[in-house]
Amino acid sequence: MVSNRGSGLNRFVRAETIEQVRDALAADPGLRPIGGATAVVSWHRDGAAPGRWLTTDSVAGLRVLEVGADGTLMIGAAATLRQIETDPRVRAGWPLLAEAIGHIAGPAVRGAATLGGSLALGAASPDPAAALCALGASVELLDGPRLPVAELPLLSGPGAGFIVRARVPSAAHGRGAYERFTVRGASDQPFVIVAARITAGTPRVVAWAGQDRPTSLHAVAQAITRGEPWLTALESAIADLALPDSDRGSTAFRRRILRVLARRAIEAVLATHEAQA
Amino acid sequence: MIDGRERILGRLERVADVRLKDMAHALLLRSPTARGTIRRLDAEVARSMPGVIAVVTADELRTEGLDAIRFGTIVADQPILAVDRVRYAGEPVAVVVASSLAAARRAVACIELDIDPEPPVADALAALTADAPLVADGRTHNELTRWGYERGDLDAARAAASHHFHGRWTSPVAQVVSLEPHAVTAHWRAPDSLELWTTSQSPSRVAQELARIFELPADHVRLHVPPVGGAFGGKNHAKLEPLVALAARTACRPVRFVNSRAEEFVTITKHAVSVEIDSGIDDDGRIRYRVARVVADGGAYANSSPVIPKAAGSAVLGPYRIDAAGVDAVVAYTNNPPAGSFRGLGVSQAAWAGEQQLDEMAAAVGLAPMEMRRRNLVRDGDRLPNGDLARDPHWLACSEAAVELLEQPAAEAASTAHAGRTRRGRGMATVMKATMSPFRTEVLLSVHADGHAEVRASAVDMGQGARTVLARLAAEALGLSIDAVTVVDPDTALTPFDATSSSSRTTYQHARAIGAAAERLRDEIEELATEVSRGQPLLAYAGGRVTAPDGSFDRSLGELLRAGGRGELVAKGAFVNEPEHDPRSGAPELTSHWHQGAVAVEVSVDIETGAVRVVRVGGAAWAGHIVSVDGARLQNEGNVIFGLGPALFEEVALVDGVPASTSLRDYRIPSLRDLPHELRTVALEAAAADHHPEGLGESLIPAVAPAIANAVADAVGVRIRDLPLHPERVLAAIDAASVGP
Repeated sequence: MVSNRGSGLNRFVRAETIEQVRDALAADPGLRPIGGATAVVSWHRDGAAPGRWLTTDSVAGLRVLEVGADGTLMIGAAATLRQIETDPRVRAGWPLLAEAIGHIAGPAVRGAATLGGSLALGAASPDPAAALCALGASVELLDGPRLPVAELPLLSGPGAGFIVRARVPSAAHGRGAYERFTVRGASDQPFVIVAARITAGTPRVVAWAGQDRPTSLHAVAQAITRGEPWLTALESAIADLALPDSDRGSTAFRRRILRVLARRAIEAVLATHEAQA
Repeated sequence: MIDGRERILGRLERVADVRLKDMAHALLLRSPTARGTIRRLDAEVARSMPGVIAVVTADELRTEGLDAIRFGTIVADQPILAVDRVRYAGEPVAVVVASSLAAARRAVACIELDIDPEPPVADALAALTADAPLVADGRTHNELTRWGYERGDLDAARAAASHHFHGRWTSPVAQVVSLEPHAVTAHWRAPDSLELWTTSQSPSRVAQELARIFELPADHVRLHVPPVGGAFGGKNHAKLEPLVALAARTACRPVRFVNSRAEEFVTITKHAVSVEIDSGIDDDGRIRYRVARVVADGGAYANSSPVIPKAAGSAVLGPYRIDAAGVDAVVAYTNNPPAGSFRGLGVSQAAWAGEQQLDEMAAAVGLAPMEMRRRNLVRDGDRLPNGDLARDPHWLACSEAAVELLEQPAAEAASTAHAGRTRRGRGMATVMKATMSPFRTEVLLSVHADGHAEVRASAVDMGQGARTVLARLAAEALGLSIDAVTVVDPDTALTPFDATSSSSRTTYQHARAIGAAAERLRDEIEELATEVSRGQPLLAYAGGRVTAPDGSFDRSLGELLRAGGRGELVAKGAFVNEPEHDPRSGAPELTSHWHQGAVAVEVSVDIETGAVRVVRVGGAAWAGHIVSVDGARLQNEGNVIFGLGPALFEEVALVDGVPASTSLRDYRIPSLRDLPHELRTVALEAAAADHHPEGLGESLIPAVAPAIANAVADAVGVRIRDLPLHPERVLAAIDAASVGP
């Protein structure tokens, strides 16, 4: 027997200070923070049930985008992707991040979407997370620990945590490469992403192929550092990744693309690094 | 465009913008399953909810005696609402009319629907087997229509061929993705007087259909069609109009309905088609025989599917000289969403097969693709594969022009990124598309005392610039400035009959009809001039003025009408595109004229990922007389861009007849980022000034996918027979052919 299903209404709570955020979340554990709400429209079109939403676009201090005295880039969770992408300091100092963000949707969407919302979406918006991982960034949660991006828990449900800001270490003397593959046209959601970077001689290789969080391929980075055959380490690391199914291609195909993109990204950063040396 | 400013500023009124006093809103409950029996449909709770005005189900149809009614312009087989059984996922089962969309949404959610599902007939080939479950009522098999022909001595031709080829190609279900979804607002002005605003491409015929369904005099049904935000065939024939009209009648209120994007996926689709072709050539590459079998999936209801076998079958073998030819084309009922017209009408699916095999044949005897076409394309006086005379053929010119566009120096140097891992290739395709014949078009052309002229035609502007084209045609015919011409949007109370705005016929048909009307109008103008001038001889009309050679009489049109005490002069013009008759047999030929085009492309294939990037495109279409240079260029470029999606990534995956996704997040169409680095097109124009305009709406799109596939074959030596050319499919083909760096 096949039946139809139901629907309802959304409710919004507005916060203007971090204290109000804290109070609102404590009073209603089912409240979910949203940034530009670009994903909410999409969810409802998919038939998701309505929810209770905490808006963050007016929270003082949450849109900060500044470079500290030590060269650390600090990005507030409510900073829009467009704000980050077009900031000349970001483009000059952290071009990997600007490039990654530039792949997302179009300028109109990036003008509303926020970094916090993007990180909270997990697999639905992997580009900023992948780039931030490769840059060694960490994320501060409200009343919680500061965590590397790759270790952020899933923030997709109520009570999962509130992102305050991302901290991105100084990117001086570093070069990166960003490889991204789509299946259904150039504007499609990503199928595979690889971000690679060598900062002060330390390599980072980050792979995303549908997981909730990008994965740092530590063994590959170590092999590069030690001058060992990193291709072998890469094959092994990719084989060990648990990848979800996708309607855009088989898992075998996904691993294959990951292998190709990772190899290309690493070769690119090594070539640049050697040229610099 | 005459309304370009309004379009860009978003000031064009669309169907969804129509506001009527006391207007209510409709939402549909649709079947979630592709096939089954309705066991229970209980709308009692929904009827009693706040804001709900009416709920219409099969019970209400029975009460009104409409449960046995079927609609469909060619084959009337579709019920207004599902009665007892559902035949496709998405079929409307009930309609709720409420004072607001929110109230309608809440009420739809409360309708209890229980269906006993059955395994669907989900595949056209399976549907045609003897033991397949039947889809449509009153039939003993699932074959909807069949068309074909045989010509020549096939045995002799086979014997004369030294190289033989066989292949099977498939094209999947696809979506039109018009910017504006289907929308209808219906209002019963009186119990026997119906008025609608709709996004239909065929207002005249839909009005006739509604009159038949509701047993109304023809002039008691009035349809308005404001400019439509894209249609591409998907809004041809009646779709939602009968249902919304019924909802309005039941509710005794005007009712508005607009499809959601998800509902668009189950309202109309592009036919999935499989094509098998056997061909043979001699050592010189001359085609001795070609025999094709075409099987199309028509979905659950006929819609425009009955014409698909002829549309695809007439194009599959291409515009070539062939000693012996045969086609057997069939469209089957299945439990998939109804398939209908999609830009190219079956020709894209046919050319996908025919033009790829042509290049396979060329390669077998060492001929370049262009040389293969040069040796085999019909010339004036030759016979097309079905035996019709090739009248006014320009396929060779189109092919050479397309290739020449690609031969021109590239605008920018080729990217060297990953140079070792990419291969470049070139390919081409040449296509023929029949325009549906015979179809009738009528126009009313008038001139007024204030000096302006008016065109009344039921041609729908759906983004192709019909308003501008009609204004320009009238201006040219009357010698006026285009600024002096007004075009009345389709309104069946004011604009005369036009079969449909489809089949790339609007410019072609209306040029003739407006020309005929203008001729009659000129006669009336000259008659009035004689009267006003009291019999002065040698008066002539030109450039909007009536003058005497000696200058003794000189009146503008407006002055003439005012002097003659006339408010307007009106003339009607009509044109029916009757095909010619074969001089040998006397039988009518298949079409009044063929659309002719060719596309040449250059691709870059990443042999490590299978990604295909279309780098350069050259397209050439035969235009006859060009009415609007900008319009022609935009049509050609639009054809190419539209064709990229189905070639590279567009596909609606159906699981047991249910779309796997009904979201544009998953069904992607080409974006700016997908455009080739270089896109050059040309509209070939007739030398004779009095040549009629040819339609350009579909001349290039069918050639895009096979040209890309041929280019991929050139690049990596693999031939891919299934669409789309997504990376995993291409990579698998490369692996199979062991293509390495």
